[in-house]
Amino acid sequence: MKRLLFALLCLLSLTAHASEPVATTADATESENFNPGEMILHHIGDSHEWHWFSMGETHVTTYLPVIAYRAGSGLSVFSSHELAEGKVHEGLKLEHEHLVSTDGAKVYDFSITKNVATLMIASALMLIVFITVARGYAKRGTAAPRGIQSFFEPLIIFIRDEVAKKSIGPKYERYMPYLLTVFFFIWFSNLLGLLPGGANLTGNIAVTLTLAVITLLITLFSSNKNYWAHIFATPGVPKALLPIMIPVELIGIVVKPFSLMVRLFANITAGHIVTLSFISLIFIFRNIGIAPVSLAFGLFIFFLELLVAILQAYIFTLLTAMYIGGAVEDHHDADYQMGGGDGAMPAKAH
Amino acid sequence: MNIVTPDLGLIFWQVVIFLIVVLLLRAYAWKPILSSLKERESSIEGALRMADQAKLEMQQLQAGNEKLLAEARMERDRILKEATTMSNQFIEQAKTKATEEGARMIEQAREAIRNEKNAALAEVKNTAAQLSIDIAERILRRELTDQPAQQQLVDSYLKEVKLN
Amino acid sequence: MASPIKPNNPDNGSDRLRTVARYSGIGMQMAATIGLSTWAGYWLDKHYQTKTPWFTLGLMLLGLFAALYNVIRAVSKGE
Repeated sequence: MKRLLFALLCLLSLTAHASEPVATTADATESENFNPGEMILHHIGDSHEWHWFSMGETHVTTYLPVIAYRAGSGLSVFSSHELAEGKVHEGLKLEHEHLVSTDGAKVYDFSITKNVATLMIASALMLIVFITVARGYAKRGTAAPRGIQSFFEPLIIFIRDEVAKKSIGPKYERYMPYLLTVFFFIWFSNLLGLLPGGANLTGNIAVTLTLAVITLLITLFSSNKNYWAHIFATPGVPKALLPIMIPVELIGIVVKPFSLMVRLFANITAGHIVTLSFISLIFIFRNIGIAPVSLAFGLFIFFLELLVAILQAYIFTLLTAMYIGGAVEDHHDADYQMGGGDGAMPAKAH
Repeated sequence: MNIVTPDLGLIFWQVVIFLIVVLLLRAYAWKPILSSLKERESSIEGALRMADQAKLEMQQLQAGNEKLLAEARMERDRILKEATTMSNQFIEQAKTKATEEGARMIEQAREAIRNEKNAALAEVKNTAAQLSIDIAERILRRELTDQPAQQQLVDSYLKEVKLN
Repeated sequence: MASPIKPNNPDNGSDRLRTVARYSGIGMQMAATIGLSTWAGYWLDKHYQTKTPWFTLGLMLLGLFAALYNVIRAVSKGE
């Protein structure tokens, strides 16, 4: 029943997207003209209003606040309704969802866009859920967990034992708040993105960039001497090779969070694109006969995405923990194994 | 909007909101949750350890009981054995003593009998001797008055000696 | 001595998942290393308007080397 409802909603929200580019393009003469590429790009991108769905010509849209700063005219705050359908307000207008000033001045756009709103919803949801869970512990003490508490407890224990303890070692406790927050933030945002009409928050490069940079900063701030010794004087490398090795190691530092950023962004965005593409087939073929096949594939991808949602959250958290672990580890085992000598291996196996 | 160009506004909100969420959750969710989890785990661990200890103590107690029982059994066996030995000894002693006593009494009786016999014999001898002397006296007194008879007697004695 | 190649044999689901995630991370890093350094070289060439794209070439080779080096190191770390 739920699935059916979802499928229906999905269909509705897609008709909305399908007709939207037409509505925004002034010179579009026929509403039959469907551009799946533009629809998909529009869906995975950010926007200044939250377009839920359309029924024929009726659009159900929530207009979000626009907050813009320009060096000359200062801060402007108003509803994005003022900018709908290409209107100009306070010298600002939207060009392909990009806020520009009519006089060409540089605009710093701090609007509460669809993604920012989703970010706030996800954050509020997390606060409510986990403070409720925490209250459950306060109330029941050491008794067995119940309700929402018993759903999240295994996950929290998993992050603590399988991710933090195994990757970071004895100093794991300091990093638990960040690891748990990042895991649940990514997971919740991924799930919110899968809801019909939901924003593609974790598939936005700005979001994944921020998370990756925070991971990088935590890694750098918790790094010890050993970590830097590795970079500037890699053990077992001749002095003459150091000018090459140092850039190589420095590239490594930057690449780790970069790959985190790209992976999350690419996976979530790709998932959305694939789901939307399957459903777009209906509109491309303009044939209701293709709908069941297309919907079935769309649904299949959707359930795959449910899995990907938690998997990507796990991978991001795990790799973050591993990078932190690499920065705080004390021993030098890794150096001896680098040469590929078999002698060091069994010693570690003990 | 280019999807690979990070949007400054979103970065700003992401940094602000995410950091607030991390700090709030750290204070009001993760710390209490993790500490309760730890507490519960340690209490479970403690309970388990206590159960193990109780089990061990029980085993020790059982072992102690068994040891005590074994010791008691051994003691009993020892006492029984000792008693048997002692009683056997007693019986043996009593037997020996009885035998000895009997033997002694028989000996005494024998002694007494012997003494009586000896005394009786001595008296018989004495009486016989007295009688003989008396008879001899009387004979002698009578005979010494008759010379030829005297001679005859001597002769008959001599004859007897020869015959022997 | 029984398994000198993999000291931590993935004996349960979580460890297997961990290994998969780890190696996917290594692959991603390899691609990202080459991509990033090539992009940086390209940018530098454009910025200094070099006639021959020396930055692109040099950084691409460095990126290739760094990627291989990091992959070898990560894999030989084994755990």
